Amino acid sequence: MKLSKMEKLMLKGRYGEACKRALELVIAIAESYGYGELVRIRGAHISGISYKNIGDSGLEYIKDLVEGGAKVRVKTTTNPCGFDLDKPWLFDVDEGFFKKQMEIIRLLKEMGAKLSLTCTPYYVDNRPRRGDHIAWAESSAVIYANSVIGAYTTRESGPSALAAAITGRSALTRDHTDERKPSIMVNVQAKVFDYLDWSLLGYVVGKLAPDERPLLRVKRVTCSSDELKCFCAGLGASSTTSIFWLTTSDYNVVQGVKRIKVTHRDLRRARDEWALTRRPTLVFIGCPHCSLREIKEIAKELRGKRVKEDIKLFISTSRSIYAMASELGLVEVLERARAHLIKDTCLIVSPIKLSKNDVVLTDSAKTAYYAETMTNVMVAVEGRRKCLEEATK
Amino acid sequence: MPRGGNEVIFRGKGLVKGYFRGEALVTSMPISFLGGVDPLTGMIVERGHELRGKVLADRVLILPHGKGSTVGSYVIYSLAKRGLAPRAIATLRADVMILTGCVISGIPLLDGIPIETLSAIRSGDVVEIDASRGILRRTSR
Repeated sequence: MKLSKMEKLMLKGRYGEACKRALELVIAIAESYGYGELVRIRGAHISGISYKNIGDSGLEYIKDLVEGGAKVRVKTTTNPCGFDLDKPWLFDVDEGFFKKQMEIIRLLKEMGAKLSLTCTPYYVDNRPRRGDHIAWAESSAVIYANSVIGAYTTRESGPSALAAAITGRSALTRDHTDERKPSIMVNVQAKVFDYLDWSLLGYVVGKLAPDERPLLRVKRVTCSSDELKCFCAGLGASSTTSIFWLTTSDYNVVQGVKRIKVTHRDLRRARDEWALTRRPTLVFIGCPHCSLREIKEIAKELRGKRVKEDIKLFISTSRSIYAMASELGLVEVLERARAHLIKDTCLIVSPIKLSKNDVVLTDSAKTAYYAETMTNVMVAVEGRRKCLEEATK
Repeated sequence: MPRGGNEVIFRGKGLVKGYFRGEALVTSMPISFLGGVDPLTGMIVERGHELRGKVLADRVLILPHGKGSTVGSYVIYSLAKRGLAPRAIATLRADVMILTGCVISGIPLLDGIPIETLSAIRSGDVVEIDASRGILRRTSR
């Protein structure tokens, strides 16, 4: 492999033991999965932050890296951790978990990572520009960065994104070149209206084409970037996909690739799998983390209402967006309605205890999918407005 | 490619260089290191796995590929630090989890071995992996 002078010095250990080991990993990935070359990156986003996910093994690995002198070389943000740093009591965190999670956070800070603790770093904390090469983990953010923003990133794993952050390099793969072209045409016959529809559409497309790069042909698109974000999360949860395209025009129809369609019935069937048959005990909105616009919408909806005593309503976002919402007085509106605006975490990566009697209601296919596979509670999906109604009626 | 007596050689691509000679542990089922292996003992605990109850320490692990979360890489690392990880791994098709685990733990990894390996080598055979030269050799049975 052709290496620059600096990369050779990294391998000799001139930039520390951690940097050497990190580059060895990037090179190994480049040799086995990539084009045998490295690409310089402008930013990184690392996953595997919650102690619930990485456990003692992950903590130990990050600690060894820091002891080996690891520092990030590019702007690096982090995925959510196990609890809201300002309200850990909401998430059934015990002392052991608290200490271990704070240790992980201390280590990441020492490495120079920005503790954005969010799965939507592209709103405020780490916004790539079109054409930027980056190394991101977190499937929903990867798909968003590639497809909505037009950046270039492989769907990195937790350790590989960390290695890229420390070396400033990633493996050159197809995702970093313009050879990433549609491999399948998806004719969307279903009508999509709200966040839940987009989220389910992503989930269904991913199930039908788990290892493809889909081009979606829709009749007309009137959607916000927030709705596309929900689509990205659904798609990321059910596939290995790193990019998609959306078109309304016949000019963009690609010849010579597979074709499938998604009908209203396909979406209906996915939705029926998670039908609401009992009264919810926990309503969760904010997978992926809410934007400021979404929080404004929710605050408007909740103004003058109150969440029922036996129901918890969680709305999750990043600490950066939380600060803006607070400035605008939206946090107060939500608190008055007995809703919890939480940051730094989500239902899935927190150790929150759910019993068999709990019913989780959400407007995210990704949360529904993971809650169902990781816990034994009953899970249901409904549109956002209906979720808020259920919590307050 | 049999070569007299009990000796058999298979070739692959060394993704992590290194040499080890020892007892083989062979499976035709993929392994998830997160959840499927106990990080404190290095024992395979996945329900329904044909190697359930076997320990990985000091073995040459031969398997099709890994499965499950990339957090499994951290489990391999943690096992290696405690001397509980396999001393070498050979795969038909390495996945990101196994590759990352081997690189960060310094475990020799030979990838792309032919599928016949899984039947020609049995658990308990003594094998030799030379990942630098891309060779897996069964020396005796």
